[in-house]
Amino acid sequence: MARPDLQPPKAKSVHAPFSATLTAGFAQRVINPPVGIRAASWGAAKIHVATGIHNNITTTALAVKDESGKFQYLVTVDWGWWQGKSDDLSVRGVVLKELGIEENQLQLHLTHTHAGPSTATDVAHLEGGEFVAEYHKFATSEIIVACKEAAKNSIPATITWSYGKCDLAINRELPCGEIDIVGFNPGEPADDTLTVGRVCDANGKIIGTVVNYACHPTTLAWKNSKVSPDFVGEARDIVQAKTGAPMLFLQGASGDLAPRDGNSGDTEVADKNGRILGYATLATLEKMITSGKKMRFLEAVESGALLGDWEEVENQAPKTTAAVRLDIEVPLQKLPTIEELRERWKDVDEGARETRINRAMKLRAGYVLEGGRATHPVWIWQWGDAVIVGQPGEAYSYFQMELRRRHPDRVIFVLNCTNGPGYMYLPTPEAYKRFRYQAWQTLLAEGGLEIITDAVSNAISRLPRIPR
Amino acid sequence: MSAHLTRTFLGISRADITPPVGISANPWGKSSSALSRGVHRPLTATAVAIRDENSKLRFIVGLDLGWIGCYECDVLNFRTRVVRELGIEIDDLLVNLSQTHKGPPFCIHEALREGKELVPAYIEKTIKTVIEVCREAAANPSEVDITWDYGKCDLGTVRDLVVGDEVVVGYNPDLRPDDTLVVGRVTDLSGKNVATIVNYGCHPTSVGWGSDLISPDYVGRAREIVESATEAPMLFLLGACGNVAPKIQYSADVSVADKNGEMLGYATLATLAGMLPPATEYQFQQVITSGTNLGDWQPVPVTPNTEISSKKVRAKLQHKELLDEAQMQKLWSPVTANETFLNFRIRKQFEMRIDYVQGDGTVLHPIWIWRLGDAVVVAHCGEAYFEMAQELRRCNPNLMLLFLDMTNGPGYIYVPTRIAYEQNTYQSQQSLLAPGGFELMLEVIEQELQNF
Repeated sequence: MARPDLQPPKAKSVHAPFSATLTAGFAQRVINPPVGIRAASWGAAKIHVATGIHNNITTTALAVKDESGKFQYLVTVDWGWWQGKSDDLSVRGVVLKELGIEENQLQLHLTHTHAGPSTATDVAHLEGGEFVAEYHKFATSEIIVACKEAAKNSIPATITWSYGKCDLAINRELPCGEIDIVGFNPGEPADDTLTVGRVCDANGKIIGTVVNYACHPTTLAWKNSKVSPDFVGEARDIVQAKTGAPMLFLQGASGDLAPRDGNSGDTEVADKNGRILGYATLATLEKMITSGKKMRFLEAVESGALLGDWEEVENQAPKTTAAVRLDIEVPLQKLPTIEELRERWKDVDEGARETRINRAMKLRAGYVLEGGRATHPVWIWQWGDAVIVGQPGEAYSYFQMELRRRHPDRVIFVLNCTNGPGYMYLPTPEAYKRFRYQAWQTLLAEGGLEIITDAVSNAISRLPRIPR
Repeated sequence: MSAHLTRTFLGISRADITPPVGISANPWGKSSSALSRGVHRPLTATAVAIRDENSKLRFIVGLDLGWIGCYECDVLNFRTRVVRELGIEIDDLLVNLSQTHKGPPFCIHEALREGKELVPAYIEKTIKTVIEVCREAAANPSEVDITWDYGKCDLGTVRDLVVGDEVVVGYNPDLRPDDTLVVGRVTDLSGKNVATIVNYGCHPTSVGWGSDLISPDYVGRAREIVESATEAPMLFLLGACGNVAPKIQYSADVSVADKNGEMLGYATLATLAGMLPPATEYQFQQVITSGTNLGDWQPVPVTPNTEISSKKVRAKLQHKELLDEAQMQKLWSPVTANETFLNFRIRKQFEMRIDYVQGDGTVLHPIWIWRLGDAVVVAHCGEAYFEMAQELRRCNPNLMLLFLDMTNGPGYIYVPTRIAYEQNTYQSQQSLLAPGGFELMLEVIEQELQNF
C-alpha cells in the first residue's frame, strides 16, 4: 500500500547524476614505434632502446562541439613527457595546423608512461635516435587522423560523470634521514579518487569512456626495455573489452603518487597494476544509473517495513560548454647556472648527472621569459557538470584534491602533462623543505602550486553555474 | 609494510541449493504472490573447513538464503543437527546468510503463502546439503596461505531516508556509508587459487516484490565475476548492513541485481589485483640512483601467522519494554500490509526472545570471535548498523577485521545506533534492544578484541 502522505522535502526528492548532453565522438589509433627506437626514460637503465612492444602505444581523441559549433579536442597519447617547448610544438603545432584550429581548442595530453619512445627531437645522434624523427612524423599524422575521425564520428551524446575509487596509487615520498626519496611511503595516505565519464549515444550504447586517475606510470623502470603504456594498457584493455568502445585515459595530478609495485622489469607487474585500475573503472561504470536518467523519489510503500522507493525518470542533462585559458604568473626559484648544477650533482654518476642537467636547461626554454618572469598555462573546459582542467606540469595531488574539495557541485578532471610550456613539477611547500627531487626539478618557487590552485579555483567559480 | 597473512589447513566445497520453481520465494510484504516462477541465478551453499594445529575443525558456511529468525528452526532443527553430524561443538560452526530477499523461507513457520507446501522438504534437503558440503570441505584440507586486504566498494548506500515525519527504508543520497570491502585470497603453497573470501555489508535488496524469480541478488553476479577470474570458489560473508542497501533496489528486473553485483565483483577483482604474492610482505631494499634517488621495495618471504582460535561472548544489553500481543496488534496493524504478515511478525517477536531475553531486563547477545592468523572474524546474528564495523576498524587500524551480520543465533534483531532510535527508524522498532545497545555492544567487542 502506497503512502502518498509521506514525501521527502522537494529539494531532496530528486537525485540527478552529474551529466552533459553534447555532440561528441571518439577515435583511437595504434602508434607503436619501431623496435630499436630510443627509449631512455631512466638514468639507471643500461639499455636505451626498445627491444620489443609490451602493449600497444595508442592515441585516443575525443572531439566535443562547443556552443559556438567549434570542436574541442581532448587527445591522449601513450608517451612520457615533453622535455621542452620545441619537442612539444613539433607535434602539437603540426596537429593544430593540420586541423586548422586555435591553440585553445586542443588539449594534447601525455599519459606519462616511463616506458615510452623518446619524445625528444634532439636525440638523432644517440643510439636508437635515428628512428625518432620518422616515428614522430607517423605518430603526429595518426593523432591528426584520430582527431578528424573523432569529429567525423561525433553524434549527439549523453555523458554521465562519476567519482569512483581506486587503490592503485600510493604516496611516493619516503623520508630517508634529512631528505625524501622517490619511493613507497606506507605511512602516508594517497588520493584514491577515480573520475569517470561514460559517453553514450541516444540508445544508451557506450561510445567511449573517459578515465582520469593520478598515478605515475612507473611500474616499468630501468630493468625494462620494452615499449609499454605501463598500467594504462591493461586497464584500457579491460575497460574496452567490456564496453566495446574506446577508453581515453588522462593522467591526474600525480607528482607525489605512484604504484606500490613499481620500478620493475616485469611487464606482468604493469598488467597487474592495470587490473586494479581497470576493474575499479568497471565498478564505477556499474555505479552509474541508466544514461539520460535521474532518480526521483516515487513513493513510500508499506511492505514488511515502510520502504522508500525511487524510480528513474528522464533527465535534462546540461548542454553548457565553456572554455577558459589562464596564464598564471608564478614565482621562480633562483635558477642555477650549468656550472652550479654540475657542482650540485658532482657526486652523481656522470651519465645521470648529464641527464639531469640536460633536462633542467630544456625546461627553461620558452617558459622563463625576459626579466625572469614566467606564466603557467592552464586550460579549463566546461562540459555540462564536468570541468576539464589541463596543464603541462606534474602537479602534486593537492591540486586535484583541493579543486574537488572546493567545488563539490561539479565533477573535476585534473590533467597533468597537457600542452605546454611548463613541463615541471608543481610541488607542495613540504617538498621544498624536504629537498625532494620534485622541488629541485621544478623552476617554480615554493608557493607556486598554491597560486595556480587558487587561480584555477577562482576561474572554475566563474564558469556558468548549472542548477542542481 | 606488514601484510595480513594466515597459513592454515583449509578445504572448500560448494553445492547448489536452488529450490524448486513454484516454492514460496517472495517474502516482500507488498508482493501480490509469493509463488516463484523461475530462477534468475542458482542459490548456493559454500563451506570452508579450517583445521588448526591441534586438528580441531571449524567451519564457516555461506548460504544464499534470507534469514531464519526462529530459535526452533535455527538452533534446534538446523545447526544442532549439523554439528552433531560433523562431530563438532555448535560454536565451531558459523553459518552466514547472504540475506537475499528472493529466496525461500528457511523457517517452516514462515511458510505461510503460495508455494509453502514445498518449503519443509526444501529445508530438510538443504540441511542435508549443508552437512554434505561441510564434510566435503573437511575431507581434504590442504595447507594454504590466506592474503587479506581491505578494498573499497561503492555498492552500499545509506538506506534511512526521512520522508515527512517518518524514516523509511530507502536510498538517502545525503549520507555516506562505509565502503570497506574485505578480501581474503586463499592459495595453495604453489600459489594456485583455492578460494576467495569476500566480506561486505549491503542488503541484497536489489530485487523487490515485482519479480517472481528466485535469485541470490547481487551476490550471484559478483561471485560469477570473481570465480571466472580466479577459477576458484568465492565465499561471500555478509557484513554490517542494518542501514545499508544498494542505491538502485526494489526492482522487478533482476538485471539490476547483476549490475549491482558487477560493482562488488569488479571491486573484489581490483582488490585481488593489488595483493602481494602469498606469504610475503613489502620491505625496503635500497636507494637506487637514477634521474633521482629512487626507493626500491620488494616483496620478501615471511612466515605467516598460523594461530587459529575462537571464543564466544555474550554481550549483556538492555532490552526495550517488551510488548504483549495486544500491544503489537495495535502498534503494527496500521503499518503492515495484511493480517498474515502481522500475525507472523508477532510470532517472530516471541521466537526472538528464546534463550536471549533474560529476566532482569537484559538480553544476552551472542558474539563469535575467531582468530584466523592475522585476521579476526567477529560474527553475530543481528543486523548491525554499518558504524559498528567502521568504528571497530577505526579503533584497530592494524587489525584485519571481518565483521559478519546474520550469523548463527539467537539475536535475530537489528542493532541500530542511538540516532536511529531518535528517528524511530524501522530498524529501531524491530529491535528488542533499548537505545544504547549498539554502543554497549561495540564496547564489549572492542574490549574482547583488546584481550584476544
